[in-house]
Amino acid sequence: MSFNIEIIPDESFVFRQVLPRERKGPKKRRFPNEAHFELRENETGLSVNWDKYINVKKNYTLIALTLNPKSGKFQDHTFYKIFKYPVKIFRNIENIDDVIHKPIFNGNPAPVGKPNNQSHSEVIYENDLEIFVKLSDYCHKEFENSYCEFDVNSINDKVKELKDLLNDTSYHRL
Amino acid sequence: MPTLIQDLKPIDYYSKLSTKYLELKNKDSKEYLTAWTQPDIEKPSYIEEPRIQNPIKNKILLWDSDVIKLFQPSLINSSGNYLFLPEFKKIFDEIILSKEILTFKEGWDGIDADPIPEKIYNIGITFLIDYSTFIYNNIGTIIDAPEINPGRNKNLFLSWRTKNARLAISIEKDNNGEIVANYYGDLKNNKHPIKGNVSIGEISEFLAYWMKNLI
Repeated sequence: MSFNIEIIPDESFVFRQVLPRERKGPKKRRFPNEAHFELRENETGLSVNWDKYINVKKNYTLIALTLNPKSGKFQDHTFYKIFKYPVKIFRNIENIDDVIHKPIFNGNPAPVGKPNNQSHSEVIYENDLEIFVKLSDYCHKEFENSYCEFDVNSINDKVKELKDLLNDTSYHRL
Repeated sequence: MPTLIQDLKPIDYYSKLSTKYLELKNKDSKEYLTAWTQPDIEKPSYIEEPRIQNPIKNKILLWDSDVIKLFQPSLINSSGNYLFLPEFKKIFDEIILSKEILTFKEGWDGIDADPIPEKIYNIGITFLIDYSTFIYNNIGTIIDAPEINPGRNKNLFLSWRTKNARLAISIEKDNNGEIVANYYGDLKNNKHPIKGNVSIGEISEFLAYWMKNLI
């Protein structure tokens, strides 16, 4: 059993979580910058979460319940920022192929640290500076609409409670 | 790696120059830099008169009224120090800040990004200096400073947003293992977009003349 794959309509929104890298100096830096939209060699698209199945609060919770594959520790959701994009923004940029639904099913229940994610989707493109520039600028021009203001500490107790349940949570069971 | 001269104030420099030796001092003579074109050369006697010379790695130093007005930023001593015009202070400051990129460890992006190779970083900085200087020397424009940011694929971004234009350059290895500069830029309202890549080591006049918009 897994999730059905659906067509994402233009009217939908997707969330993109990014991890700011603190830099020295007084200069205020662009965030997100081009690097945040750069795909690694093993990536087929930019990971996003479809708002049909998730909201900002759940997105932060999902981050907190996920293990960092390198460190083996749970991610600290308080470090992350989330931006919201209209799907049609991606589809209007030349060289972006599409935004596709690509849910993550890790089991029922999914293992601790690897929760399921029905909202997971990908923006499909190959690395292209024009795409990076335009997406970065979208966030700046539409900052008030795209940046998701959220009190990240407001879910700390809930996150602890969910972690205590190991994988007996709605994030792990269908 | 190149080190940058942080504590000198070029606008205050009084300098002496020979074909093989350069000394820069500020007015108080409290700070100075000595630089040799060849690492092992002994300090020669000064040549007192201002002159145009070509002493350093075939780059031109223009000497005028005891104050340096114009020169090509060059690797000027055995440590590989760069010199900057005071007009390039914003670029200089960003380069100084960018040096911390070399301290970023694996996973600096919170996931699994690799560290930025020193070679890529140095090429990126040299690229920035060479193009900034070329534009200044040929057009008289001092372009704005870019942001210098690490990329997720061992590449380095130079990224400009000015009131006239935007440009991003990625210093990276191409599929053949050659280091190139990929770029995308346009003017306000997506006008006159440019996109492509240029080789490292020689100035693309097409790109350089477009970059004059970065003010």
